[in-house]
Amino acid sequence: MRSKIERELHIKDRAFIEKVLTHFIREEVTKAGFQKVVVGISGGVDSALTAFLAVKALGKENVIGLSMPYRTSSRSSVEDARLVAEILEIEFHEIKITPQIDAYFQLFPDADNVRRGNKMARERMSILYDFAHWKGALVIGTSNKSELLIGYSTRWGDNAHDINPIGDLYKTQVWEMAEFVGVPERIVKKKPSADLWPGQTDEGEIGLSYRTLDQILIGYVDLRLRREELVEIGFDPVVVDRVLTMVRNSQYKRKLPIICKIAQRTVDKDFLYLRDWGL
Amino acid sequence: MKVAVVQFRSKLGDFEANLEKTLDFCRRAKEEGAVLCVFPELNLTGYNVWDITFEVAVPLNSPKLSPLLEMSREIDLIVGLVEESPEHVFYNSALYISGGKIKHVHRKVYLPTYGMFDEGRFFGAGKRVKAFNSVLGKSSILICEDLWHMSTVYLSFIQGSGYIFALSASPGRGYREEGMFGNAEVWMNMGEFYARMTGSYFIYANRVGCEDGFVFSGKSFIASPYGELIAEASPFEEEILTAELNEGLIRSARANLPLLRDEKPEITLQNLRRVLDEE
Repeated sequence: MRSKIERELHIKDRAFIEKVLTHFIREEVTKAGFQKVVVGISGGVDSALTAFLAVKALGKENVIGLSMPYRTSSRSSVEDARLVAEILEIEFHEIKITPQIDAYFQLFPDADNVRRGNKMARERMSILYDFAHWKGALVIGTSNKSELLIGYSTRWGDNAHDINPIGDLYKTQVWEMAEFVGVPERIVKKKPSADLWPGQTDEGEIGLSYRTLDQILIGYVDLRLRREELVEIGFDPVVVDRVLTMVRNSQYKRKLPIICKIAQRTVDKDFLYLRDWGL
Repeated sequence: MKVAVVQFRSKLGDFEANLEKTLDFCRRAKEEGAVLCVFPELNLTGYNVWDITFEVAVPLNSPKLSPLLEMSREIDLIVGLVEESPEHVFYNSALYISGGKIKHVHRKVYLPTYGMFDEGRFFGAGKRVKAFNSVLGKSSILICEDLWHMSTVYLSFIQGSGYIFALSASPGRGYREEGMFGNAEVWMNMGEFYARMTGSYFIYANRVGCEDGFVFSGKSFIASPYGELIAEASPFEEEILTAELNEGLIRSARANLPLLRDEKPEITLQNLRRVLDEE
């Protein structure tokens, strides 16, 4: 079973999956009446892969990249975001979010890192949507399946977007695909970080490696193994419990607001239409 | 005789737009010399209709179907739609239309209601698998999940069908194969196997396009009574697939492998009765 899990994570035909993802982007964007997308480019691998896929799907003239550094953002993040835009030859804007973030936190000088990080993520979302309206574009998301499942995101921040081509790829699969589509090696190989404060790394914060996380997640989610089965095949019970707790506790982040039902049909419950209704 | 399989992209919930395109494809199939044009499951409505079911459903005497009846004076056709019965039950149905009349209706028997599927919530289940005479010869229509139940194929076989029309709208999943989704490969394996075991042509019409991120897996195909692929479509493109089908090849396959001659349905029936009685 352990070897099945490892096999299951591997994408056999990456050229085919690239085609699936680019077809998805092209069709979902164009049939909604758009040609362009805006993408926040952080310098990390998720947004780099997304930007590469968007350019393959829509052409470089239809992709707008935004880098939105705060004063503590690492220099390499800013440089790598520029590098992605340069390679792809896309319209690129670097918008520093320091003034508005600092102006707000002058009111709350003791605010902790999480408050500050969340505020930054939501500020970036707000800028992406401003650009989307200005440029007549959709916001393309960059959340991978691992972070969606454990809730490693800011509600209405980085997890808010219109379409997401990489949300069914675990982080380790993002690495595979990024390497395949030509994302520079130094972006694929660097330690993943939300870069919300200096020295932050995802794996440090989550408390385990993406490789282990993804194996537990694919076992639990895709293969529907139970906790006991995951432990039986050799995963540390403490780690398994931590992962499963993160999944359960973050369910609210994956859902829209819940509505109190009083009528026959209720918008979030039994008013069931796909978003692509009529498209 | 030449048959055309249309790998169709539907507009979700837009019966009129899908009807127009269906008629266009029929004209093209006719120009290519086909005597029959086969469309995928629910091609006139889109697949994930959910609550749109009740808005796009048509009774079989509806004037909305007149253009199809007219077209059938030029070329026979098999289309998929939501059928509303006189008792107001809604079925996932396929119609065989020929010479200005609906000659046969198959109501999907097995409605997948698990995982990503929710058909049982909206549709009533059909109760019959009945062979009929198409322009090609004795035929059966089955819809998607029907074919995952061997019994429906057995029922087609035992009634002597030489042509099995398999209509589907199969959302792609599985990245462990090459050049196609995992489910597309399973369909091919199934088609080759069923064709060989029944000595029948297996004509598989699948959807392409996206509905809210479900990417239909395409790869429509035709397998000969010897279980060989004789025509195969792409994974993503809307296209017409044509092939020359020959009754003589059914004869040849069944002469070499007389499974239908030797089949003992009464033994199957006796055993089924015994098994059911013992329960």
